[in-house]
Amino acid sequence: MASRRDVLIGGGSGLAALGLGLAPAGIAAAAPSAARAVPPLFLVDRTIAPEVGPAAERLGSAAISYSGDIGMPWLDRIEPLWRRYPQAVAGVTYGGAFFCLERLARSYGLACTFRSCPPLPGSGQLVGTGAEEVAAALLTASARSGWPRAANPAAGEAADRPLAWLLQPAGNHQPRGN
Amino acid sequence: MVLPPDVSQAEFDRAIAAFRNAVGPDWVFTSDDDVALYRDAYSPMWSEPEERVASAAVAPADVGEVQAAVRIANDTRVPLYPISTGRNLGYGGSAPALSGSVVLDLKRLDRVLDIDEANASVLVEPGVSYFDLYRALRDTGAKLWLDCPDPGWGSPIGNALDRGGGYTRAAFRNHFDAHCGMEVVLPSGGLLRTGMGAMPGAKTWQQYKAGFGPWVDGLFSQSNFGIVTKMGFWMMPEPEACLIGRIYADKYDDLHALVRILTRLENSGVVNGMPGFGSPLLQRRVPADPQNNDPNGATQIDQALHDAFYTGDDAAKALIAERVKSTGRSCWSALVKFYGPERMVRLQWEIAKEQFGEIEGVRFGDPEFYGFPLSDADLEKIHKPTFGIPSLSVFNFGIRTDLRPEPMVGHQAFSPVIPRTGAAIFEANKVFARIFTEEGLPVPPFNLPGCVWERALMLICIFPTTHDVETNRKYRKALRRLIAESATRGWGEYRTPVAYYDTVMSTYSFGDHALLRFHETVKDALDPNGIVSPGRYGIWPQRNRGGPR
Ligand SMILES: Cc1cc2nc3c(=O)[nH]c(=O)nc-3n(C[C@H](O)[C@H](O)[C@H](O)COP(=O)(O)OP(=O)(O)OC[C@H]3O[C@@H](n4cnc5c(N)ncnc54)[C@H](O)[C@@H]3O)c2cc1C
Repeated sequence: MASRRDVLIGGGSGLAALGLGLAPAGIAAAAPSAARAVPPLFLVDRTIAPEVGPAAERLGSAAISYSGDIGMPWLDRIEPLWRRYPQAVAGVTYGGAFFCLERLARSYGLACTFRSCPPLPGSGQLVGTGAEEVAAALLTASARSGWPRAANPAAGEAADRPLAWLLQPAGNHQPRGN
Repeated sequence: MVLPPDVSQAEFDRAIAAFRNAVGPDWVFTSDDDVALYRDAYSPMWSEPEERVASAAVAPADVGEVQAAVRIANDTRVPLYPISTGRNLGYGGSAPALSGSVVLDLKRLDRVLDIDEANASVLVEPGVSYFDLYRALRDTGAKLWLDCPDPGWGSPIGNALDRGGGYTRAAFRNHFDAHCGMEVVLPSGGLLRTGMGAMPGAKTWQQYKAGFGPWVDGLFSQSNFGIVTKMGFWMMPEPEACLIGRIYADKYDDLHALVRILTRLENSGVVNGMPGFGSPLLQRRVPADPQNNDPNGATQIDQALHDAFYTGDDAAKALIAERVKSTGRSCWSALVKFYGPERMVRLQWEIAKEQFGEIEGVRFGDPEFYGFPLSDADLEKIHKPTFGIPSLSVFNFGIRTDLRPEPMVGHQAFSPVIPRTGAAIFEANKVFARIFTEEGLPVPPFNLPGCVWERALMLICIFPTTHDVETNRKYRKALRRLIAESATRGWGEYRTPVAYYDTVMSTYSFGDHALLRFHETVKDALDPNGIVSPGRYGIWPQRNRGGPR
């Protein structure tokens, strides 16, 4: 069976094979027929890498720059987006914010398809199409100015460690899990 | 897939087919991937045979479907485990208390049914999160504040039913006490409304709590006697202002007077926000201090000072006095919050200062003053739940410290209720330090209590949960000992992770466990088939008592 890693390497077809590629039939009607190439939202914790925001904007993704608390971006931007239909969201955030978003995403039919800690542009981890490339480009952009700034080398994938990640529409959209 | 202990595969399959029929096939989850999402991410029994896991999940859309699911459960004897938003991390997540139970996920019951600004109340369904309610209040323009726990992704109903707590005025931060009226699907499938909700046509369901006759609402908290499908809550009208004052005392023994005076001020209504204690010398912040909302903020202190706070003898007091002098940091601090009209909160602070003036050498910080709406700059730095705003910032803080460097995935809390005295704080710290030492664990810095509840204090010791079986076992053993030794002194847990339900319940043992026997009597009467949340808070139905669990 394909692992999450295979999904990353395999890009779009891998996602589809795992049922992670397209919005489910029940909500497809509400979604635009052509899938967007870039995630419509890109979350950036500006205490990590403020320059990722403008890079995301240039690549066609609306950047949400915030500091520390993912609560208000969730309330005002992400939840309303996902309530319409599941749409990809990318981010460069601390592990704690990602932990919350990944769990919240489940209830809206999305799953994590890419996660990198630390994000290593050029390391071969960022292979794929569409949204992954956007994330890669953003990460490369951020790496050029010395990102990650606040990395704690002793930490694993922990609350206080920066992560790059991608949440994408999954095979179903039911509320599930915690 | 784990089946309930005394249910055959055939009966289970019959239940699943019936659930699909009742709620629609899209809303019954049986694949391993889907069911795994209900695992408790913070389980202290991760991957051990004792870890509690669900067999399936069912997500009904309305009260009728909840009742249908309950009838199917009675027919097939497949136990259900209802959750609201299921974010009970630290106390079980969304995993059941009995492995093999089917999680009844109520997230689809997500309507804010009423916002009554004049009465300062709301009526909500279980799937409404604090964020949802905040948005609904904002959209209607109602000048009402939520009281929320640190994570805003949970729900008023789920949190209140686990008797969780928040951060504003006492009447609101005790979330179960702040409720007014509930609707419950009983284990029989029947529907009950409590308080004034029992009277058809009453307009006072969210105004008068008790109704007529025994007030039964408490039976549905920390229990397994029913499935709550609606709950009313009293909300805090937005105050004109909030003032936060700081008090500093230099002598080790001043803690007694600090606690006594603060308690008097709170009991008499002068201090009406959540107070707290800290120690600048130990660099222990007061919980929910808007100026320093970083639980990782405490830096290492030297061993002699660390030990002196536990020893508390004359030599220790002399060392502490010397350090207070040399560092300019006081031994203790207290933080008091006042909500109300500006003139009133300023006067309340003056009165508080007068009373704390009984302590020789006491000093006061400049008060912080907040008007509403808060500025963007304030919003960036404050502890949001203190101001009625849901947040997720608490997840940014790793709980890894120099003392506890191992990787951890979550936490579990030991949180005993102790008397509201300085003496109890000193004694509890000493007992816990001894147990930590004997269990081979590092002794954490002197612990100062939370003041979530009126009248009592609660010490909160956080233990990591990991994916390493041996580490988890070590902490579980220590936690069990803390629970048992605390009970011999009359200190009891207010809430506990699933792993310790039976252990804690067994400590509330007055009259040969009369309380547990009462719970069991109620359980047997209401739920003879034992289909609602078997084992929750140590209450087992007849069929699992002494039998399969
Ligand atoms: C970092 C961190 C900080 C935390 N801080 C706080 C805090 O400040 N205050 C606090 O109180 N908690 C805190 N918690 C604990 C927990 O996250 C919250 O209490 C949370 O609100 C509980 O989850 P929930 O609201 O989704 O309730 P749920 O998980 O939905 O419910 C909790 C339990 O109640 C029962 N239940 C729920 N709904 C129903 C129903 N409708 N009918 C019958 N039974 C039901 C179930 O047994 C369920 O397991 C914290 C946890 C973490 C990880």
